[in-house]
Amino acid sequence: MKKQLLILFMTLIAITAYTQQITLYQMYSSIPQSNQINPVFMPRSKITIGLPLISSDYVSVSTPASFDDFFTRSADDSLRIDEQKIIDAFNKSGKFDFEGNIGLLFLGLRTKTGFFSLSLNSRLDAGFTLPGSLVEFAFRGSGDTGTPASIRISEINLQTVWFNEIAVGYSRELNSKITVGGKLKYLQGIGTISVEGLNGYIESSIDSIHISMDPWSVHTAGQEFLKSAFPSANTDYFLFQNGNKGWGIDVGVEYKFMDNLLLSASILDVGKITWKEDTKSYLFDEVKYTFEGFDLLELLEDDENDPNSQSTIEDEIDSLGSLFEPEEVEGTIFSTPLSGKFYAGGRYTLLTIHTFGVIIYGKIFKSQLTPSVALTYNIELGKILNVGLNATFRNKTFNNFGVGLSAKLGPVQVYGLVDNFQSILLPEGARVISARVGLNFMFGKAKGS
Amino acid sequence: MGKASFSPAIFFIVIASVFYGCNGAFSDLNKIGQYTWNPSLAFPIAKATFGFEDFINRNDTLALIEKDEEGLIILTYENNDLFSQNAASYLELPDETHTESFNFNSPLLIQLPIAFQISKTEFFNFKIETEEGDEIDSVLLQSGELELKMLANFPASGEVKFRFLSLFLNGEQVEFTYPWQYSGTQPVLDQTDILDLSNLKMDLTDGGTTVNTFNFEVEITLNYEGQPVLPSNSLEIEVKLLNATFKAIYGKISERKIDPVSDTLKLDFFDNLSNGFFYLDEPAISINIGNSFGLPVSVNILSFEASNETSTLNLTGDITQPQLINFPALGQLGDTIRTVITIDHTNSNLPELISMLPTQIIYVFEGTINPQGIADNSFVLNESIVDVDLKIELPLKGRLSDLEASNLFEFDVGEIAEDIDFVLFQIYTNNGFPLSLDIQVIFLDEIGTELERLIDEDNRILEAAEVNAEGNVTLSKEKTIQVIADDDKLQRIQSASTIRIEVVINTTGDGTTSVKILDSYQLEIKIGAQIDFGLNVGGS
Repeated sequence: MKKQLLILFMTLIAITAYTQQITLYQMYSSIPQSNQINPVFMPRSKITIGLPLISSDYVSVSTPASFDDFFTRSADDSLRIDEQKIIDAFNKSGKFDFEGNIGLLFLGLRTKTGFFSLSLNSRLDAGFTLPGSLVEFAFRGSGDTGTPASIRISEINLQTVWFNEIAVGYSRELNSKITVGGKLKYLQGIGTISVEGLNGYIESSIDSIHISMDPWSVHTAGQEFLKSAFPSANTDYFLFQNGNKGWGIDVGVEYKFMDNLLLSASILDVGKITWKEDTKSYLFDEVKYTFEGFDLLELLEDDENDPNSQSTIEDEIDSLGSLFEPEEVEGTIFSTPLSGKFYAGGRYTLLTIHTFGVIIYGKIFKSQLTPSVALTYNIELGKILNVGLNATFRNKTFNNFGVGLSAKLGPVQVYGLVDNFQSILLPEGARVISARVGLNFMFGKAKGS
Repeated sequence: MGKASFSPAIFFIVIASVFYGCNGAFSDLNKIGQYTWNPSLAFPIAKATFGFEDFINRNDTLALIEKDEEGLIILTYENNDLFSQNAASYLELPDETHTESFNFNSPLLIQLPIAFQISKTEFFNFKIETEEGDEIDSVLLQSGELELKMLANFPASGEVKFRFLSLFLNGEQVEFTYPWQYSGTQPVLDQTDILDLSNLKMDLTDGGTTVNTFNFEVEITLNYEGQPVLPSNSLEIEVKLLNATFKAIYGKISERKIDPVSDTLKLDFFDNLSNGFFYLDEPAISINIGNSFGLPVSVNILSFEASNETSTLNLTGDITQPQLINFPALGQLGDTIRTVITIDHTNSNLPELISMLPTQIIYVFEGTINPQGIADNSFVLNESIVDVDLKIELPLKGRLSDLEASNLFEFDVGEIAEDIDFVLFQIYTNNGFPLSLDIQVIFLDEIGTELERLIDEDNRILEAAEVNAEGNVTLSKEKTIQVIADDDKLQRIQSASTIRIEVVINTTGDGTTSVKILDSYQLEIKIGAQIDFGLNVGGS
């Protein structure tokens, strides 16, 4: 047991965590929208209705560095920008992440052994990674004569996808121990910016500057729609009437290890959107550029007084600029994968109102996995109130705390969840903030819930 | 009861915490101190690999580059067409006027029958007076006019025939006949005729017996009709040679002076060089003289003075004596025969002149055509010309020691210097030239007071390549130096308004060995910099 605990502890230390909807996951028993992060979860009511715009609205923002990461407090209580702390933060992970979800409709129907769901959501999923080497270059430049600076371009990532989804889900108890669930999602892309194939490096020293980049491209869609969104939005384009289509699936499973101990896991957003309408791509050629200085003789030859002649320096800048002039292609077809996620957790119920749990979360963005782990506690206060608390392990400490509240007042349920509550109390230390609010109409009570 | 009151309590705690937290964070924004951004940028600035020719060709210089078989660089300065004048400037055919009166004597007329024909021929000549006493045998005329005036009052019809014994057209003598009819009125002939002399040959030898003599013959024929012909009846003749120009003149042309020619040749290669020792082993000046006169010409260097800002030196030596130049023989009619007079260390003090680093050479040449009339059978074409080209050749083989050059430049570092804490220039050289170069940049204020020197210690940026006994490079030399300007130095530099760049040049061995500069030698140079900025940002 000690060994297992040690392994668990080492695992926790090894990962740098971002919390993402941990609180919703732990409060699945009371909030129907937890079905979005594990399709196996079933609400307690027979019928659940979520109305447009108010049923579930979610936003999550994470950055590589907090306010505190930018500063060090001096003896006189003043704040000093701390380059090293910022660089360290970006070296650990330079990822910016933004997720948003507006629920347009939620319908749930609980049967004796299963649960049907239909949901419409408008989602925004954006990720951008800034490598620590680039941040270090910005602060410290290319270094001294003996230390060439190197910026790894391949660590720069960008993908932003705005899409609508129609999800049809079903979960079912296979037996007294195992419940499985799945969700099929029809996806309609609204807009995207996606960088593909960005790979290379920039090295700079007193002797030379090398730029090596593979061919890369920036794919976009929805530019025309966004330009014309106000005041004459193309509603057909927005409402599932464009050629940017895709499919995704969520799957989940729950296993009753013993009466008080449940294990669950889900894999979400496995799929992609193929963009065909209102697309424009910017194709960049391979770049192999070496600069070892301007030609000294040509510099001496430059005639500053001749307005018609271009200087050697301008020539070089133009030459470099031309290497990064993209070919614009309209009507390209490309795909963007969804940012896949997984959740796994276990929970132990004590005295029917107390629930303790562990949840592991991970998100895959452009082949990069960002995991996190949280310890959770839930208490049900009567039939009305459900309160969840969690702590997420990050930077070798538990420094992200989540709080969730749901209240059921007759058929109306309101809820609010914050995954990084300390970000509100101590915003200077916040790297992540995520929150969800909503209102459901819940009718009836399912058997055995 | 306990459960019912729990929800509002949590709500208020949460709300209070949120307000407290946000307020705390925003109040800390005021505590952000001034930040000094200190990026250090290291980057290459310039590079080049070049030979002497590349360097010269990219600079605004009057010098031209030549090479010998070995590739030795020869700097040249040329002054073509220093002097160029054709024969028409020295030789002219004068205008001539000659009058004659022609009549019949009485005895001849008394014996006349009532009606018959009578003729009489007379021979005339006149001398062409040349300015310098030239003895002209013949002239091939290019243009000109022979004006012939005739006035006759014979009481009879007749004609007059002019036969110009000295004028030939296509080998045939030129002659003209003018008839008249007598109708009782006088004069019977009053006529002026102009003969175009173009392309005519004028033989002035009177059959090879003399020079400068123009001959012609007049024959009058009268058809006697019974009116008495008296001695007072005559033909008055006026012959004029006007505006004659020549294609060629043969004979003995007298000595003529060519007016002295003066010119200045700028030698900008030595601009800004001063002090030290500079010696080229084999400088030379070629004076290339072309002569298409069919007679000798002598050239005399009246003055040849080299000067720089502080001193002058005259050319001395045997070469300053008059030099006789070659000329075409009769069989080389129309050719230009060239003679090259070389001024070098064997016949002059030219190396000493070049050693003084002249910025200009002022020279005066004088010429003499057929000096002392030494040529008898000579010719001059109208296109005959004496032209003089001058070329200074400086083969870069020699020695330098502590040769200095300096120049002033305006300087304004601007406000950017305030944001710079440290500058380092790294200069790498791989020198294939047998020349070393020490450089110093001196910062001066508005009144010329020295504020700072850029390089503190080793300011030799180029080490001279190694050479063998012939002065050829055997091993190039690499060197890397770093020039550092820290914050203190940068502060002192900021008030500078002028910089003086001083350069000291030595050949390998600091001027003890004669070295060559070949076109194959190259200098590789790479310049990089590191700049540490200190930018103050924000702060409360």
